[in-house]
Amino acid sequence: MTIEIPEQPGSSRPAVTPGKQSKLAFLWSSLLHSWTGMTGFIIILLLLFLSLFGQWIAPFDPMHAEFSKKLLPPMTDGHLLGTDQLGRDILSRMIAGARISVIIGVMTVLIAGTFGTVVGIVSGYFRGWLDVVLMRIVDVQLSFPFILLVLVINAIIGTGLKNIILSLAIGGWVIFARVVRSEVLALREKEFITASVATGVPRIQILFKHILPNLFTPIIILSSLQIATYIIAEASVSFLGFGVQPPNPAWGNMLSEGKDYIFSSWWLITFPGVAIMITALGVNFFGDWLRDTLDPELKGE
Amino acid sequence: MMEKPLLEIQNLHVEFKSGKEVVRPIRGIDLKVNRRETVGIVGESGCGKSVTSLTVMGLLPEKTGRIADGSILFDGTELTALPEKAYRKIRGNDISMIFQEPMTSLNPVFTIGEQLSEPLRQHRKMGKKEIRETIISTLKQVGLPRAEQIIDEYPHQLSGGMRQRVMISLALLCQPKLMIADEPTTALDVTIQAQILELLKAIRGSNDMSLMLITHDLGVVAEMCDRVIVMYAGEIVEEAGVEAIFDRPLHPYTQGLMQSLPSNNERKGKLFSIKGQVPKPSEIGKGCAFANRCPHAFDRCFAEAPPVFSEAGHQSKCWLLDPVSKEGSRDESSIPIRS
Amino acid sequence: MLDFVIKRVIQVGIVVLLALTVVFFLIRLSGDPTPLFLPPDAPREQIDEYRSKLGFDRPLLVQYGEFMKNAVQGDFGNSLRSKEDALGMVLQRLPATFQLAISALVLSLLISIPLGVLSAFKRNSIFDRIAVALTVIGQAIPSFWFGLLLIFIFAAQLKVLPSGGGGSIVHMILPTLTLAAYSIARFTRFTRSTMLDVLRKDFIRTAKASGVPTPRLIARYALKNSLIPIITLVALDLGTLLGGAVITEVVFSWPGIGRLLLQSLLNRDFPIVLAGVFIIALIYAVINFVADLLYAFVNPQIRVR
Repeated sequence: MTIEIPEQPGSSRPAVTPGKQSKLAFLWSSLLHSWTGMTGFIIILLLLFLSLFGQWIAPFDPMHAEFSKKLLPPMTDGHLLGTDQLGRDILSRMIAGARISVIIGVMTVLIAGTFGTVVGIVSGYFRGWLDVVLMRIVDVQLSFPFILLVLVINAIIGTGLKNIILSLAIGGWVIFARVVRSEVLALREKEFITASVATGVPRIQILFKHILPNLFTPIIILSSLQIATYIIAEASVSFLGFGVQPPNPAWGNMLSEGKDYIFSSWWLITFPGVAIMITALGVNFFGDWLRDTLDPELKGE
Repeated sequence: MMEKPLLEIQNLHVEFKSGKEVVRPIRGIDLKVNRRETVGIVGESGCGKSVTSLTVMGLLPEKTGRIADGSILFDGTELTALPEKAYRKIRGNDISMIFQEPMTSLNPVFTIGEQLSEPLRQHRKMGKKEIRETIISTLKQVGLPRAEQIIDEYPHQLSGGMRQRVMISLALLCQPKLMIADEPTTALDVTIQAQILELLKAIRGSNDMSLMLITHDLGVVAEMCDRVIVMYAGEIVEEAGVEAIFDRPLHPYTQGLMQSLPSNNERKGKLFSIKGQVPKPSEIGKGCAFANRCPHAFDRCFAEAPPVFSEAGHQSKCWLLDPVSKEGSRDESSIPIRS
Repeated sequence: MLDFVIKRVIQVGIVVLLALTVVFFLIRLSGDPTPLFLPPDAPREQIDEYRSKLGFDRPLLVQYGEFMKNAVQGDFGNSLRSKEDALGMVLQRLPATFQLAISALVLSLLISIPLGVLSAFKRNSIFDRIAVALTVIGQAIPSFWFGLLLIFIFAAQLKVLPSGGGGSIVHMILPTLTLAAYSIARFTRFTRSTMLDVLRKDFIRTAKASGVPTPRLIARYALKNSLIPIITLVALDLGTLLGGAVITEVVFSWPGIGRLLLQSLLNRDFPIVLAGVFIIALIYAVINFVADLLYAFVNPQIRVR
């Protein structure tokens, strides 16, 4: 067991279990044949790289304001993408923002995914009244727009990095609960489970030996697709004035600050938006490829 | 002078393209269907019998499938070069088709009447009332009770047998010259199968119409057909009148099919099956396509594709029938002839 | 039929009540609301006095009971700022939000369904490829940024359209486009894949075998089959549209409930927040109910007889 670096605990690392070399090789060759999958993979690698080493790559201190250099257009004075209204370097702030987006996407998926998975398993495997109650809650929550829910929760419990992650997780666990539950329900009917039950294997043992390993693929697929949703939602909430607070350089924040200068300084609202779009595209490409490769039956919508 | 056949297919080749691969499900077939005749096409799944029917209907998948060579002459019209618009005037009008799956062949969101009015709307100049009357009388003709109610019902409200009757009435509406039935009873219960076959037979008898019956079931062929065409791996291997083929099957493949009929096996206590599998299109070499499964195959079968040998209208593509090769290698006792 | 309606009305009630309950407890648990009613420099005694006057010193469950009792009667209290009736303020903003959401929905349906059908029919053509690429990008663009881009292009650079505010048709163009963009991308992609699915079905072959010409085959037969899943998706997505409306309203200073809700959240004006949540949950539940009815209408297999 290696110690994981906190910034990237949800990277594709868990997919590598010892003795699955052939599966890895299969995934890699499939990736080589899909240009969208490969594009997504490269974008994700780039994001991870920036969030780990960004502070040494960034040409300037992302928080350093220099009023005399405010609103410089791109390619002036060594500021590749220009400066903002306080004279801070936009490129450096975007690199720092990548780290915030990655942390938020990954941490939210970890929390929402874990909680939702547990609920889904409890619901689907043990059924009974608990299943009825839990699924009712899921239904009710799903009947409220996700982004509004996150916004209201975040506004009430307070802003900041930890709270936006918590708000996104509270809004996001239901998807995991629902998907995992239906997977568990389908697995329960499979012959190998029925056979184990018939031969008297304890239910807990069946759960850990047969059910959990089979949930791995759907959860990984769903997680990769949800990350993009969380990153966009965080940007939206931060843009609206909640979520990550200034002066922290979250992309949504930068757009929020930049919109006041939309008539004079186009670069303030352009680059962070492009970053969000490329990130969302990359994560979606990768997630779609993962789904098509690991679970061909799910292909399409 | 004999009447000209209604449908005459000559040297037909069909190709399917999937990616860079080209598959040839039909490799040079000749067949004809005479007027008021029931012709059976038999063979295992994948032998090309369904592709043949789709080709005649002009319903090959647009982008992937195409006629590579040959001609299809229907009632004096060459179909292979026919523009889509003219073809549409034939479909459902002069040639109609009954499909295998009555459960999925009807559109679930339209009533029976809405769907059955389509061929009449396309091919006949009729008013709404006239269309409705024609549909009701056709539904009655195929033996559906409560035709006046069924016309306004949805497919899911009908049983499988009833739906197949609806499909038959759909094919019958414009009084076609040729009706193609592709495994019309395979998806149905055994008791209903017999009723549907009876119905097809009665319809064939009371209309000026030919029937092309595609099936894998020799029992159905014996019951229904005047003439039988046996297909194997995209080729016609044997063709004869129904009695001739059951009395004296010439091709080893046909013999195998006969032997695997349950009625022939009852006493032996063990089901007969032809060994091996239908070769994939890529595996067919220059020899006879059946050679790798044939109990009588000899050197020449692997080296050279056999031509058609014909005697008194009974045709077969097998080297065993070649008068020259007969001498040396043919083992008379190995060809079982039914008594 | 009546059973179905009664069952769904009860469901709508449960959803709305639960949403209110959760938000109520979240607000109460996040801190004592009393200081919000008073100026920031109010002395302690005044706060204590106010607390008991407003009933915030009573047990939480009693407060909850009273809140719910009033809420069911449409009384969410008064705005902490303007002292106006909270529900009234929300309802007053409702038409503007509806105007925006409905025009965006209509626009996206008008564009996406023909586009998706055409794309499916001309599969793998240049047209199809461009359409698919646009839908992929469209789903990855955050709507607020798209709004900013539109403002930049049409208001800042070309100076042909206003950057915000409400009132006239001209003011509606950019917000409607912004809100519709995501739906257009999503619906187009979905219509295309559904159409492709339907076109492979046996009953389409049957219709072809009856001599139905292709335009009619698509317009009458395949489209009606595709409509069932499309309606389901549109209904599911109306929530996203409603959520997107809030953000769009903020970007374009559109005077709808979204902007009111956001201002109230920023001011911690909780009566308005609760009234807003109530109305949004209610609208959403009603929309889903209507979608179910519509669904039953196009799909004879589940038509309630």
